[in-house]
Amino acid sequence: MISRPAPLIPSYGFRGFSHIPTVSVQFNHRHRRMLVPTRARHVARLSSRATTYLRRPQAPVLSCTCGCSKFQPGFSTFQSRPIISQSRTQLGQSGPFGPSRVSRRNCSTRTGEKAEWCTETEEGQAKLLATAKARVEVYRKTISEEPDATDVQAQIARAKVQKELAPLADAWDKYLEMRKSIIDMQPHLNDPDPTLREMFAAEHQDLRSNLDELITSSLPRLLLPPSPTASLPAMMSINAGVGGIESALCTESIARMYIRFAEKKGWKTEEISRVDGTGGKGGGGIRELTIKFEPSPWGGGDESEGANEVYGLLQWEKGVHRVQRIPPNETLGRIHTSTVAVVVLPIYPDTEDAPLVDPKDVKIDVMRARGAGGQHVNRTESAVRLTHIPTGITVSMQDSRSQHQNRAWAWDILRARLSEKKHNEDVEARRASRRSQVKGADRSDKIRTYNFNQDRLTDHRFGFSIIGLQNVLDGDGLEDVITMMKKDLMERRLESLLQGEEDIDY
Amino acid sequence: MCSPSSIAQSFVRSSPSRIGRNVTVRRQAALRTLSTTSSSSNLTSTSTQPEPNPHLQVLLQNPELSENDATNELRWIVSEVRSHAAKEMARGRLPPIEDERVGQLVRRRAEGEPLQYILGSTDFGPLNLLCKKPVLIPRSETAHIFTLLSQSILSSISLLSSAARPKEPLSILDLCTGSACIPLLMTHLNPLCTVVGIDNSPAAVALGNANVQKLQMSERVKVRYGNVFSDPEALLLGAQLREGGRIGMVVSNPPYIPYDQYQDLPRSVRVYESPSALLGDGLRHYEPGRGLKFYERISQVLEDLLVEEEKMVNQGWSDIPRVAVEVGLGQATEVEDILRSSKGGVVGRTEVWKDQYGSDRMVVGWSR
Repeated sequence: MISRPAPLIPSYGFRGFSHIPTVSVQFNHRHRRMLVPTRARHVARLSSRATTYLRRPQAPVLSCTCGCSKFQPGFSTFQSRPIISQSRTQLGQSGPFGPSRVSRRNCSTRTGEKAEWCTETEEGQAKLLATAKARVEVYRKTISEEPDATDVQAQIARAKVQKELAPLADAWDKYLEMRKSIIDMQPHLNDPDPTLREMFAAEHQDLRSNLDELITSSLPRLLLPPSPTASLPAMMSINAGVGGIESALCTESIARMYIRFAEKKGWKTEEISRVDGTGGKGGGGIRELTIKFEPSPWGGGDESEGANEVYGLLQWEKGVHRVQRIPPNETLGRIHTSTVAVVVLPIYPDTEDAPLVDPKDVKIDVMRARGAGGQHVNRTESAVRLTHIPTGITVSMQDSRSQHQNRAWAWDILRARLSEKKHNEDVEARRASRRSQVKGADRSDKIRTYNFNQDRLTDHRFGFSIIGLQNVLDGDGLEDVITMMKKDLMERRLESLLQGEEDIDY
Repeated sequence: MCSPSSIAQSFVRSSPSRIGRNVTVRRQAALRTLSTTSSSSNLTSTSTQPEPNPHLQVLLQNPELSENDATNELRWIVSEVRSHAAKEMARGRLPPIEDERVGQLVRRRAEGEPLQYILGSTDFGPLNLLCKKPVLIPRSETAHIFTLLSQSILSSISLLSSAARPKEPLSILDLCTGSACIPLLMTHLNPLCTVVGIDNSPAAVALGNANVQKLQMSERVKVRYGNVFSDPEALLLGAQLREGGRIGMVVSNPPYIPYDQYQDLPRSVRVYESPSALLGDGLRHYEPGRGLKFYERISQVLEDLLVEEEKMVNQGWSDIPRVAVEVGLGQATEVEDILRSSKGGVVGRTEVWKDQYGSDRMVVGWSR
């Protein structure tokens, strides 16, 4: 593990490095960029007039790709494809696709195996649409089924499916309708009258942008609702693993990364316990740190969507993080490898209708029997130990000088641990009902490597690397990494739904 | 012991990366080979052996501290110094050098000075109070039993949010109030009471008033100079009650340590805390006593201080304790007897309550 000697880093901290702030991302996973055709404003004004023309009897549809019954999105489009420039999309009013794409497209839809895509977005979301179709079919099947009046369980399950999927089915019908009108309009785009042609083009463009909006916003939300745990506050414990002082120093950097990330998100952070490293004065790092993250009470500094998904974002961080670098206190320039373990627990609210913990079940221990007590002695001991009798979970807290504070924190931690237990039970219960085991990532050990010498961050769960480590450690780039995990989860959820299985959440 | 690690143990199943450990082993092997070939002296400065913290070693010179206590106290000292430095910087002042400041405080602690005096504050139940030498440092047992007392009062009257709640606030007299910890706790826990604290030490009165200011309770808590052994009328006057006004309840945590036990007290108590706040027989009684003189005096003046039970019931304060005193080890039975034999039969029934550690700590008396 001895590598080339590196210049001695003058002091601990990351200011000593200088990096290019841009992040270049390397995928070996399929991720696509979708290009939404921009809507031409001036054309929109024409659309109302154009509709009057549309009321005329329709010309015979040449390519019968009407979506309703025969529409079946093809799977061949799942492969990555080049991004088409925006100008071409706008210019291509004769049809949704540029001439270069026509050759690839199977226009004969009489077989009903392949459909023509109306917009770029639609093609990009093929998998989503296929999944939505599969779900809607499930819905239709439950609707058409004759209910067995005696089987109460089956009826409950049926009602549940109907309740969950009804909005999706509505949106799907709307989608098919819109799609049909777009396709119906296509022959008119070649109208000999230039004024009419322009109007049709405008209307066509308008409908397409509506369709895109439906596909990019409504359908995903209905098909993949955000996990109920995503918006919960979270408790994170960061522990130094192997690697002695260096590991404590790494723990400090990792902790700093999360705190900066939370600051950027506008979350409230509360340091619950902290054990400093032993490495001499000042720069000893951290052996253990427990932080509570809560959504901002004022709505958050970051206005983007999902800004308050505290657990939803941080859940990706649990696991062992590996750091490879030349430590600041290393005199011979050797690369050390150390690990940092991160645990993230959701905190379920302790509501009256679903109490997590009954105070009667918790035994509050006093740490030590005393002698005379009272005025005779003057103790500073503030330790608190809570024992949850039904589960046997014990929590001890002696970090604060205030026993009151320790008790509050111990309760927080106890709630978080019971939350985690409940969460795991929920997940296991759902998993048990599934046919195949999900290729989940939560049981893996080492989840991520921070390699300072190569300025690289690698996530082992999905196997991608990012260059620009400092940007991530400053909390800015972490979002990109987490976004990738979320995208991957979405893909896996879609796949799971497509195969007719239950929804997954990790 | 500490919870974060236990969380980690329960959810990160396997040990933090085998790979990392192998690397460490290999590194050490490489180190050994290197050290045989080249005689570099700073090879051992790698991350395996933590050096003992020098401050911790100094703290451990204090025989009252176990290693765990010392670790905790050092952490609290450091965090206090840091937060103080942050405050100074926010005011545009240069903070002291952290390590030197910590060193000074650690040395004071090593000599036996109580941490509460060094850091200038302590926790008393939910409150944070100022502490200053030589005023008695509030004890956690006191907080516990007076919290129980407050809960008992609140549970024996009708709900404070109901229309049937008492019409007048309960007036409480706290004798030997010290840092005013009991008055502040009682008013904090029960919004329908006012407390007057009395102490015969000017330092205590000053500190008590500072605490009242700090917690912004000056409307309901008064701290006055006064002597338990003076005329009860003077005590009532000192409490600045209305003419002929009396008190609904007397509470006290009087000095109760007998002189023969005083010699064996830990250094942090004996040397640093005021003996007049500890010695139950007064400073002049250096002969063996039982440490009960204050209880006898309280029992004598109770009749003159307390308002009649009928008036209390009329105001809505029915069946609440009229007197509650903290007691020392093994004094509970004797104090019960003393209170029950008080003049005029003010105390008809007594109970002994235990503190959170299971020792008898408080004697509570009712009229009937």
